[in-house]
Amino acid sequence: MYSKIFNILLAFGLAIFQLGFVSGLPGYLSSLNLIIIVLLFILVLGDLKTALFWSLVTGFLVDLFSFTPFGLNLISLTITIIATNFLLVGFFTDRSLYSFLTLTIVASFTCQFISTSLFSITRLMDGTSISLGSSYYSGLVKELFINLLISAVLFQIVNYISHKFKPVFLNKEKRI
Amino acid sequence: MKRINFKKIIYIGAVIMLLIFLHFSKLILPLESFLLKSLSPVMNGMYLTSSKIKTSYDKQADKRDLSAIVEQQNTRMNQLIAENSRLKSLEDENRTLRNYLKFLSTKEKKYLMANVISSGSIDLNSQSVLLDKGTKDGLYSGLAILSSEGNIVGKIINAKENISEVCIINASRCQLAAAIQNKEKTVGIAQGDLGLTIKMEFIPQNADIKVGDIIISSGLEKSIPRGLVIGQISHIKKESNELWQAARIEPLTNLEDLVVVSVLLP
Repeated sequence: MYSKIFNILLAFGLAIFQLGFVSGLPGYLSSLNLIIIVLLFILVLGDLKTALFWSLVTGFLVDLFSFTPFGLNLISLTITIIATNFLLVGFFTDRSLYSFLTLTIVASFTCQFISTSLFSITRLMDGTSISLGSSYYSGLVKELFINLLISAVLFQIVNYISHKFKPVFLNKEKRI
Repeated sequence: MKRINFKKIIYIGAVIMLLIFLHFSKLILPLESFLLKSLSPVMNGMYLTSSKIKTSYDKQADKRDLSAIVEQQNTRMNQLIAENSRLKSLEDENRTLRNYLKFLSTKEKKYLMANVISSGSIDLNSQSVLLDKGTKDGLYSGLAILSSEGNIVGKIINAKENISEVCIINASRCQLAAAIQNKEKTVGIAQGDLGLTIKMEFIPQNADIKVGDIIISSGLEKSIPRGLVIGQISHIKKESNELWQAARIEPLTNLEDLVVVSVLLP
């Protein structure tokens, strides 16, 4: 019970940090989607259940502070975690940097794709449509770039502390 | 790492559906209001910190020749002092005449101060900032947002009970009814351009506009009065074979530096 409350508070903290702090940073840093990166770390280092719990809590809070239809972030974050877990269990099982970065790209892209698709559907139901201009695509590229960069940095830090990941390059063992 | 089973997906889906149902049926409205109210100050504090980081970063990144700018600004300031004294005497004269005619003063406007708590959600479709005031405080869609200098920096496009969404004038989807302060008082639409500058298109070819002309709100929007400064023309695109000319507008306020704004109430 206490761990659940602790997890809720941490997830709230993450969502607030993303919306309040990260969004106001200069340059490319404001495009960072820290929520996705943290959820990925929880998925890879922890378990699926915790990652899904965090995605529900952070998605709920992001939706509260968002003017897109309620549930959009909740659904897109949850589907992203489920899709990433599918790839993690089936294809990228070695926990190397390359696998992790690939999962970061897939997760960031999936999350944006689902939220944009759902947003378009809701707008179509209202009788309007959205046009994805060049600012959308440049924002997507910025997000992918900065997510990759921060993921790589965090990967190295976590690897240094916990050794739960595999190093970037495998050490050659001397053969007699 | 476990494989997800079908039962678990249904369980998660049910939880999401329940949350969406509870939201739209307003059964968790008190909880939502409590969360929004209690978390807004924390978010504002965080936004303030990141805004300070952004400001210091911008200062470091700015490599322009400051002495040349100071000299330029001094000349401009002297011109403005002269213009200001002339306008003050006109204002006095205007006030006296209004008193004679028993006109209501148009300068007394009602404002509501609001804090910026975030500059966008995690989805790329929103290019806006969030304010910590909402419909509960009398805000609604269409109201003008002013900077500390009194310039218009955006307008409210959505409002919930405790928060509002503001489109900043340089955002692509933000449009304002504008007028150029030239002889003809040309009117048009000022629209954000990729979050960087503002553009004003479809200005008639024969309109006499020049770089430095001030762009103001035209008063054609219901909740935005005439005369609020949007910016000044920094570039004009005029082709002899085209029907219209276009102008690029430079805002007079640093739009990246908005932490506290005032909402102009009707």
